[in-house]
Amino acid sequence: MSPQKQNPGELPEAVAIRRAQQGDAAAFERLYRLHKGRVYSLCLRMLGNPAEAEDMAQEAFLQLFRKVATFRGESAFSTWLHRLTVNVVLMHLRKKVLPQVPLDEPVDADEAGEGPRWEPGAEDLVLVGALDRLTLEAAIAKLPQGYRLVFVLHDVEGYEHNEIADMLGCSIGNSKSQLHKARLRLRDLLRQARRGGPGKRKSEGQQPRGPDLTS
Amino acid sequence: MVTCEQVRGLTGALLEGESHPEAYAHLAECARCQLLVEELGAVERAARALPVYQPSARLWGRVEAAARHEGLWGQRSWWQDFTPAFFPARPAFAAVLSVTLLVAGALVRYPALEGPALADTQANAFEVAQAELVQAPSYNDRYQIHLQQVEYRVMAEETSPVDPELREMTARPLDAVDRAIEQTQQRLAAYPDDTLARDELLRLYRQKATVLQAMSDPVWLDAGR
Repeated sequence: MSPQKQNPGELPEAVAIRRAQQGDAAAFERLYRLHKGRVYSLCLRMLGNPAEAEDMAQEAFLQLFRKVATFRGESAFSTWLHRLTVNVVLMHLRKKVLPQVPLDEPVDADEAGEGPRWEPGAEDLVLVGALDRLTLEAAIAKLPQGYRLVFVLHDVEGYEHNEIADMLGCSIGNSKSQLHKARLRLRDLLRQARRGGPGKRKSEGQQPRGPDLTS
Repeated sequence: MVTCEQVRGLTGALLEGESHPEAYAHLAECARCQLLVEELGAVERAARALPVYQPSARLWGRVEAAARHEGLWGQRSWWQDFTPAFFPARPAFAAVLSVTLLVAGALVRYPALEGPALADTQANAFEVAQAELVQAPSYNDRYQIHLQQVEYRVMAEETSPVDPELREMTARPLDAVDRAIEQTQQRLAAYPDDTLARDELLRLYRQKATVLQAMSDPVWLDAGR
């Protein structure tokens, strides 16, 4: 996760970290400005709800301010902050409710091994060109929570399966399996959206805060 | 020849770049599986290219208010004010603190300082101090009286008939340290970022504190009388 670009005259990140560790409020604000987009986007995709995502982004930054003194530079600051944010969101989800769909959710017929669904009339996701990002965002938000977490952490954020297994408290094999199912489910949702089915997005004209992932 | 089902189980590995020649052979002949792998690959590529969204402008206000409410900033300790920008003052502060603590420590360690070893010229003042010590038993008052006694001792040292040779021997290292301090301060004035000079200045102040402690040692003082 790379922070936003630094303008001339602005406090470099390393200096801001050091000053924040001494309790400098201006340095905290600098760190916020540098990382707010990535932290918020991560929360948004993990939760699928803009309001909840802002609450968790706020909690993540507060946690950062509480713990910045313990940052020793053993990893990149952005990596450290990212992991901290993931933990904040996971903690929130654990407190809230159990996952709507357990990690071992029974797979549907298509996922159960009957082979890829062959739909001669369906549009080919590859041949029609790049995926519409808003459609993809909406589809990600529709994933069951267990699938969504693994997909966002692996395919969007780039975590490895062993890291995800560690974060979610599951096995590496389970993480791989969930990712595969999530991708299959996404493919179905995207196909439905292209046909104007129940997966069709209703997020046209969304503001820069991000698409309405709850539609 | 692997089956479609087996290839489906390998799609994750294939997308991560693992080599499975038997799966490649199957994909070359099976359009359905080939389409599946391509579509899942498209999903993965699109996911990696998703944009970064910005939170609402009011989020910082919320974060800031919560942080202040929690006291996460705005409560800097006095020591944090001694930032590098004020560093030239730190050795002086450290030296003054060191001298004060060392001399106070010496007084506590050598109670004889409070006795009749003081010069006659300061006897009255010391008697007054002792009387105050008896009348004001609180720790704070006693500490203040001790500090007074330090001053009296310095004055007594200046006026006591110390052996001129001994005085000269002690004054010599002190003068040398003072000269070194002056030179280092000049160096720091010219080159404020010279960390070696800053460290040297701190070392010199400590050295001076040591010399002053030696000079206030009752053994040495008694030897001078």
